[in-house]
Amino acid sequence: VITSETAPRPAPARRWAWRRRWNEYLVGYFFVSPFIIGFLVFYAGPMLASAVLAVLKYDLITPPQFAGTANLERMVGDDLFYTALYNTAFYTFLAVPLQVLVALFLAMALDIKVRGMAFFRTAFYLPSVTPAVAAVALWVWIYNPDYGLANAALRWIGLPGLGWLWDPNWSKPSLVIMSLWTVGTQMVVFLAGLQSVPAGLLEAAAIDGAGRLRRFWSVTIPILSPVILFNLVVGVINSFQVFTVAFIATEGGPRDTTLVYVLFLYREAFRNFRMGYASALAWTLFLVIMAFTLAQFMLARRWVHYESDRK
Amino acid sequence: MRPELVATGGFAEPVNRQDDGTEDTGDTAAGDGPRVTAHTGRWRRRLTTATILRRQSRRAFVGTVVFGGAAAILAACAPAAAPTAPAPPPTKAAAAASPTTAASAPAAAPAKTGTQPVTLEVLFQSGIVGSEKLWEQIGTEYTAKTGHKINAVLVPHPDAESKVLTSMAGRVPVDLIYVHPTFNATFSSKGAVADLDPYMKAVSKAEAEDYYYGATAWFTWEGKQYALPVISAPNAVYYNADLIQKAGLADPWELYKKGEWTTAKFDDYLPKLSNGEGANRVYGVAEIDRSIRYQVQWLWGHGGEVYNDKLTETVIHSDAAVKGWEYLAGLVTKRFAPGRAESSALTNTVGVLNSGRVAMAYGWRTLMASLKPDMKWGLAPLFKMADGKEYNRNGPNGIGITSWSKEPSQAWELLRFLSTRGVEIFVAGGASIPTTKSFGNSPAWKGALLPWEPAEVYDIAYKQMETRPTLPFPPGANNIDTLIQSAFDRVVLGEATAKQAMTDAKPKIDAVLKEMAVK
Repeated sequence: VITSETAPRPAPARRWAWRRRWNEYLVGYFFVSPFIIGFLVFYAGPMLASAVLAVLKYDLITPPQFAGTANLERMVGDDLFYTALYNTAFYTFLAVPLQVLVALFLAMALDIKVRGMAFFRTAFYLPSVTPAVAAVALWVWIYNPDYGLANAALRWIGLPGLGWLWDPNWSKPSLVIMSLWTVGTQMVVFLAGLQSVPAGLLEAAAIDGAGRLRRFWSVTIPILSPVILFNLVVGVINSFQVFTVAFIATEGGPRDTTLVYVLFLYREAFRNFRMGYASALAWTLFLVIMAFTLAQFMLARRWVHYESDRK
Repeated sequence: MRPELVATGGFAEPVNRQDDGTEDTGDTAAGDGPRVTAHTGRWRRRLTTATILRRQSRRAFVGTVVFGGAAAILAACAPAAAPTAPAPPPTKAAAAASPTTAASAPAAAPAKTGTQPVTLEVLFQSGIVGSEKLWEQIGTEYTAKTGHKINAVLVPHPDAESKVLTSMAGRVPVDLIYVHPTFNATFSSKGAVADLDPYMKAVSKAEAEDYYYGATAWFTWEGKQYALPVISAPNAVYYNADLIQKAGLADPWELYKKGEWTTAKFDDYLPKLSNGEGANRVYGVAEIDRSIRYQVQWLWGHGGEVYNDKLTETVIHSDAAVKGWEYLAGLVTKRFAPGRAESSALTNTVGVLNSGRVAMAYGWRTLMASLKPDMKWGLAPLFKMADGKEYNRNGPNGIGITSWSKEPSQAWELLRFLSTRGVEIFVAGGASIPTTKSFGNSPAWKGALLPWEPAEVYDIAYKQMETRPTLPFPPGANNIDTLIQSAFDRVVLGEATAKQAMTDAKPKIDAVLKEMAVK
């Protein structure tokens, strides 16, 4: 048995080095401690609390009661849960691919070397940093069935006006269109990706007789594929958590057609005070998002090309 | 008064900056990573010796982090303590110290209350125009009168219920809280607010009876009073007198005085006032607010009800109630009232009136402080409904004493002040009408009215509220309202008849009533 008394004492140089390394650890931990504390208090703590709440019945006033699987059973039998899930899935599967396409298109347009391009890049990015409430208020006017810009444009090309946000058939597509206005962040990521496409590869393909479309499809897209994956993953995560637009513009209406999942969750928690049920809903959303993210990464093996894959 | 945020800390700066000189001098041991210069060595030494953690072992440090994290998690997971018993009623002495007349003016010097000055925390809604200044005035007067201070925290009305409940769950020290009729039952049935009946017994009978029934009745639950009104806001018809005149129609207030302001007359007015298309469309009336607390007047007026007597099930699908729903939906589908799109664009009742594109609106005085002063307005009571009776509702803003207040007697004293002198201040600010008869008959009230505001209209509104008991708001009322509005959407969109939509909604509403029923 080696005790502290019998253990060989480290040589002064090694002990010195050990102390220095340990001091560096402490300094490192000290500098990251705001994040660690913030993560524990504002993320890990509430997540753990919500996991506990998910099996409780709690209305904020009366002491929580153990509810077992009651919250899950409620979810299974709740029509609005399915409505919210459907609305969110509809929004996600329509919005995300469109956002990626529009962002890629804009990035390609803004990658052209012409005078004043910095202005256009700023202009297209600006909506992404516009406060959501102001943007939604603007879109409410644009979508006004009587005198909004959207219907004016439709009528100008000879099409009948739509009810947009206030028509159950068009309310969700209206939210999708609104989401396209804020693709600036994805656009910037694509722009960075496009600028990293080696000019040599494109030139080589051109010398080999590849046209513009072929070069785009066979050179640019494979090299951009990790960026596309990134935008898809982040887009899906964000879209499943869409809230502000529906909360401000439609409050979930008409007839619950824009009742998205997080709005439903919010209502259950802070309007109906079913904290346990809302926590169960939150964890279900977490699992859904995680499943989709994992699926995207698994499918990515088939189509995403990494430079490091080359042997 | 602005909400006061108490700084509770932030990122603590390292306090021990002493260097005991026993540490690394900046030289590196051979083979131990890149060699640092003397400069960076000194810099690093300062960093390492600056931290108070320097003397800790790695195990102790990790232990501290884990312990701290676990403590944070446990704190986040800790269940709320059960509500405490309602605050004790005041002694006669405390009651005697409260204001005794509705028109009580602030005293010149602090009154001797026999207690140390305290700061009373009040949580109220922020939607009143000029709220902060009004609360500042209330605070100044109350401090001058009693020596006690008020710290008013103002939160938006839609968030008020959840803020109060989370304050309660977290035992945030609040003495008086905002109570709206829609969540009065939730608060009272769950013990969030104290029963005021024991306090009211200490008040003279004349003072207790001075309150208008239509101002206080909305804060009762199972026969007990849980809040007192500080703002009263019954409905009346606010109208654009120019549009009425241009259409060649008689003034509604004049019609009312002759007994001719009826549903039939109102229906006759609507097509005459509604005209134009697109951005130039003028509507006869603003959309009736999408909440059962407003819509209920039309249900009552057609002989319908919202709930059965025991509040165990809804009856919004009854034939009588369905007539009310059909009438309300017809206002929009016949384009006499703007639909959701237009109403959203014009933001609210004030917005639609100020746009000059809506002739009449069911408004309340609180909103009217925002009406454009350069337009010509008129005011009339609600008309006789289809059954020949007059109804009205109120959305008074009340204040109750929290069950966890540490100063219940002082809180009661302040509540009495708020429900008397406080009301006067809100009335002068255009936010309310009187809540007591004595103030309603006073020159101060008459002097606060705008030239086009007949005081009689508000007297009539209170009388209209006596036609029948107030609408009960059982626990879960907000949830129920959401379900009703979703069903009403189907009617307006023409996707279902009123009968079908409300019948479909009934089981969901009944389930909420059953779930939320007070055991």
